[in-house]
Amino acid sequence: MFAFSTHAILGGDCATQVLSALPQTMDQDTRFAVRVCLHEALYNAALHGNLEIDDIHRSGITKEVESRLNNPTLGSRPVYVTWELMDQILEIVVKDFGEKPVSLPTEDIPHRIHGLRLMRQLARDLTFDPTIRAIKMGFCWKEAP
Amino acid sequence: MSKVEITTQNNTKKITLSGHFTAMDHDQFRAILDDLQSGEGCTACAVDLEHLEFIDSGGLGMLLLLRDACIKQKLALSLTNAKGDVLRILDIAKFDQLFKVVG
Repeated sequence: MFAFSTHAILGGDCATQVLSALPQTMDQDTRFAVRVCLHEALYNAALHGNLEIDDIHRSGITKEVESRLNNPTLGSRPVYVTWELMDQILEIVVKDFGEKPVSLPTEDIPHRIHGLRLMRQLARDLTFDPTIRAIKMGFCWKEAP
Repeated sequence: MSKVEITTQNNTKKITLSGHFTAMDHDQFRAILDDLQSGEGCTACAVDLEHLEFIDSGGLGMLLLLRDACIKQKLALSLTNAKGDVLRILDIAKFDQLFKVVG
């Protein structure tokens, strides 16, 4: 299991860290899908989950994020990542520790490309359980030739 | 975070993105949108993605904001030199239907 700080997610490339821990025999398409989905899930967990930010496209959002990262309550919340490879299915779970109720968006909003839309196109399946604040992503595991 | 640079060549505003272009670059990119409004005499805007390694949904959203700004300023917008994972993400988001994507 990985435990990332919210600060580390927004300041680094934690998706690549998780990727490096997975079996390195995965093919390039699987690797691409996992990387993109992990990045989106981690950013969603950090920004919308732990920091409780609704709209990332409003003016001054970078300063707002910095302010919330420095808030002892919001900024100290971690994000957990677990993974399991079984029967050619890679399952990754990303869990945040925010307290504001969250739900998946049901319709598109202009000027926003929901990360979830990208994730749905790349993952085999995607489920979000708001009661435990965890998103579960499944990928068909393909070995590199 | 991404490095964002803007230059003017002939009648074209050239925006160069490098590194990872994500939601955390929003304020930096807002300044670029403001700069576009001072582009008198320009007829086009080209976003050079050659050195961009990764773009997420937040970065794609900012390109949509740029598209709106260019329409408002009557600037012809193009995305140039995207490759690798960035090109794949643009494809998945169907940005070729919204932007002129030049190899």
